[in-house]
Amino acid sequence: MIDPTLLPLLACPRCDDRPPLADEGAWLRCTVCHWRYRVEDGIPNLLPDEALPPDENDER
Amino acid sequence: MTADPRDQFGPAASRYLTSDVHSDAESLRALAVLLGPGLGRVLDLATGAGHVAYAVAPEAAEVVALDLTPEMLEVTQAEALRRGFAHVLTQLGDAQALPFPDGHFNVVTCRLAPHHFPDVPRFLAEAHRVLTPGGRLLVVDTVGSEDPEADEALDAIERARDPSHVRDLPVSTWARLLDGAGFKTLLSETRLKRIGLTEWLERMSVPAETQEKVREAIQGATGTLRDLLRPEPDTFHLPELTVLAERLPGPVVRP
Repeated sequence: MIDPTLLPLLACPRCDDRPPLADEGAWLRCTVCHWRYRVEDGIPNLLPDEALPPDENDER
Repeated sequence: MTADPRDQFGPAASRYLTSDVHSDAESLRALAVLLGPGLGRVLDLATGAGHVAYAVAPEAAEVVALDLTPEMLEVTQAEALRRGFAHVLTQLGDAQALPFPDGHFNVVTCRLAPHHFPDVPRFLAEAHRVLTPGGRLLVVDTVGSEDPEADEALDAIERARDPSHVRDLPVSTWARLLDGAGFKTLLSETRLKRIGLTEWLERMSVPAETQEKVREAIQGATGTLRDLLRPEPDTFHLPELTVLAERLPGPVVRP
C-alpha cells in the first residue's frame, strides 16, 4: 500500500504536463498516457525507463 | 560509457549513512542555517542515505527524499523513522525526470550528487519546474578546475574510483547553467574539503590495483592539479561548492 500522503503529489514522469497517477494496486497508472508504474513493497517505481506499457498483454 | 550509479550505491548504501564526508554534522548544520526556518515543502534530490532530508526536517512541513537506488531509500526511510521524522517521505525516481507536478515545492536540495547526472541542465530545468516562483534551490557538490587540463585529470581520478562518476563541473559552468535555467544566485561559496584517502577509496570498494593507481595520481599530482588537491599522507582535498539560488518568476521551461 502506498503512503496516502504521497500519492496525491505523484505525477507521470513520461508526460510533459506531469498528469496525476491512479492507484490500481499492483501499479500506478498515468491518467493521460496510461503507462503503468510498478508498486513494489509499497514503493512506486517512477523511473520513466522502467514504466510498463498501457496494455497488460503488451508487457516487455 | 558511464556505469549505472545503482550498481555503485546499492551495495554501498549503509556505508553512506556513516561516511564522514556525507554525515559531516557541521556542514549539514550549516546548510540548515543557510536555508533558515519555515521551509514548507522540501524535495531532496538524490538523497542517498538521507542526510540533508534529516537536516531540514525540523523546519519543513514535508520532505520528499528522492533517489534512484531502492537500497538507499530503505536506509533513509528506516533512519527517518528512527529519528522521529514521520513527515519525511521517500520516493524512487530520477532527478532528471521528476515525478511531481509543477510548482509543488518551496525548496529543492541536492547535495554531493550532480557529479553523477548525465544531464545537469535537465536536472536544473526540473528543479525550476517543481519549485514555486521565489522557491529556492540549494546545490552542494564537488567542483572541477577552471584549468581544462587539471579539470580533466580530476574527473579521470574520480571515474577510476567510481565508474558512475560523470563530471565535477567548474564553478563558472554552474553559474552559467543556473542563470540559463531561470535561477538567480543568492550565494555561492567554495571551500576545500579534507578527504581521508583510504576511507574514500574503501567506501566504493575500489579494487586494490585501481586504489594504487588512484593513490599515485593524487599523491604524485603536479602543477594546477597539485594546487587543487593539496595531497598529504593519506589525505587530500576536493573543492566543494555550495550554491543557493532563487527560482525566478517566469514560465516553466520544458527540458
